[in-house]
Amino acid sequence: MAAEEEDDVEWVVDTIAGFLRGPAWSIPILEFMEHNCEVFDDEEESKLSYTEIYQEYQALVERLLEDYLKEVGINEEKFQEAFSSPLAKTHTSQAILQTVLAAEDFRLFKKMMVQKNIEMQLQAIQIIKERNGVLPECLTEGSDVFSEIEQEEMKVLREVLRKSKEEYEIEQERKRTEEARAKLKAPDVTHNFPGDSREAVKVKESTERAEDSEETPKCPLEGSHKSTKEDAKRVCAVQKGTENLPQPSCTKGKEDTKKRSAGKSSENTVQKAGVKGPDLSETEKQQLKQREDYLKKKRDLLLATKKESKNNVPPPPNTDQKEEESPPKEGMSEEKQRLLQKRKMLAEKLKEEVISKR
Amino acid sequence: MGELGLGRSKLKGSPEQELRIVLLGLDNAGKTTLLKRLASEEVSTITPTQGFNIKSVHSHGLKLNVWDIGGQRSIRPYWKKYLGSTDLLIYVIDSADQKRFEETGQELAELTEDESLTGVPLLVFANKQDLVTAAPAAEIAEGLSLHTYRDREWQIQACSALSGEGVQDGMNWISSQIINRKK
Ligand SMILES: Nc1nc2c(ncn2[C@@H]2O[C@H](COP(=O)(O)OP(=O)(O)OP(=O)(O)O)[C@@H](O)[C@H]2O)c(=O)[nH]1
Ligand SMILES: [Mg+2]
Repeated sequence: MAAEEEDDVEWVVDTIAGFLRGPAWSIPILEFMEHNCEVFDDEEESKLSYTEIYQEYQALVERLLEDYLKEVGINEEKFQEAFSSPLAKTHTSQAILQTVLAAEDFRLFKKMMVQKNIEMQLQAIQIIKERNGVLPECLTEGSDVFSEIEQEEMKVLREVLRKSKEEYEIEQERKRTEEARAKLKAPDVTHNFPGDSREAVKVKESTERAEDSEETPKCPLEGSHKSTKEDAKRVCAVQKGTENLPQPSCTKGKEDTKKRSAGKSSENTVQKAGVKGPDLSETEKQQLKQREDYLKKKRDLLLATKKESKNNVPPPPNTDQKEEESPPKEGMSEEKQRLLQKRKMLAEKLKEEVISKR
Repeated sequence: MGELGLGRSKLKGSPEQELRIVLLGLDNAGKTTLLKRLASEEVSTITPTQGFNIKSVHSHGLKLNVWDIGGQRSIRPYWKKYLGSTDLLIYVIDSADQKRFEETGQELAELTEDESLTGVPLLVFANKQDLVTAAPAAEIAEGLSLHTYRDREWQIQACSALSGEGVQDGMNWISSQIINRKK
């Protein structure tokens, strides 16, 4: 290839890369994913409904790209040449390329949507956690879960989680105003939660709200509080997601019976979870429970898929793996507190990843 | 698809030729079993397909992206959404389910009339030949009036997706079709 042609390709790649990094691309793409990811789970079999969503995505990508290319005067041929050149890979991030490639690869699209769904679940849990006014003591344990999430995936998660940090701060603010009226409520259901074998959870015994608050500074929330319209909008989007709970698909018995039982209960120092004063309604509690189940299952499945072995089995619910603990205090059931705590740490850990890597 | 060629795998620039193959047939015909057999996966724990499955199979230097769509009556109206840009149609028949030969023949006839499949080669797998009650492939071909198909290449292949017998022969026919088409 002649040198000037190469320059030309490079110019096209850079131009397109610039566009793909900008808001004209990323906002509609992200919005699409957030609005449509809820039905996506990582069962091997795909639902019929994915196809329609996929076609909408293809149309969106096509429209955004075509409009832009027309605007800057890059023709189809040049675009394809540039996009399939090796330069495309070095001049753009994998995460950005993925949003384009997903329009021509259903399986990539599905994977992207499943990830987005899990991210949204995590965000929702963060918000719920903030409402409860409790932050986990430390995030140093339970890391094995995350070491299994590949770097590449973390990159995808990072951007969204960075944004969620801002939402987090808004929630924090809100929480402070509501703190006074936080009261204990006894839950009406005590679910027999499966112990999550892969998270070694260490939570300080604490029933004092004050103590919990002292832990707060450990969490990276010191960033400036920007209460822009965009932030507010994003929070709304997530809260909306919280209401539209996907049915926990663990009702499919097949999954549950197959799960491994590789518990590490002896290592777990699961003590009393320091959750106190949840101002959640019964409905919210119920939703939280569903979300916990759902998220856990999805995450386990995601990790199992990564191991890429055909004979892998989804991880176990370990129903009989209850820790010996003091009886539930007034508030949420002990099981529930523990689960909530784990979910919080999961979200927190991801958040830490994001912020420390910035 | 529009002008950018999305959906035609142009952007990835992969060296391997990719083909889209759609696997259809009545429920219980053995489509998913066949798909898993092609992908060398376990075939003993397959449940009826409510949506669809996709797997890539590498054969004769080709990457075959095989789409297996559920065959229950309620799902059949969705089949046509999956027919676009199909390079080859595989139609699977339960050779032992004589009661439904007519039904499966009707579904196939309807499919072949779909304009997305005009000229698309057709491979019929006369599956479940391991069962003693299975009708021979020639009889099924006649029942389906395959010989009246003029405007497309077709082939019927007796097989057992369960044991794997005959499956490779079908795949060989597929690659010969693709290679002929390229010339
Ligand atoms: N004996 C025998 N049984 C088979 C063969 N192929 C499939 N089966 C069985 O037939 C049943 C249905 O197979 P599936 O692969 O689920 O059929 P399908 O066409 O995917 O059905 P839907 O998903 O409902 O459309 C299963 O119990 C299979 O084990 C075969 O070659 N011989
Ligand atoms: Mg099936």
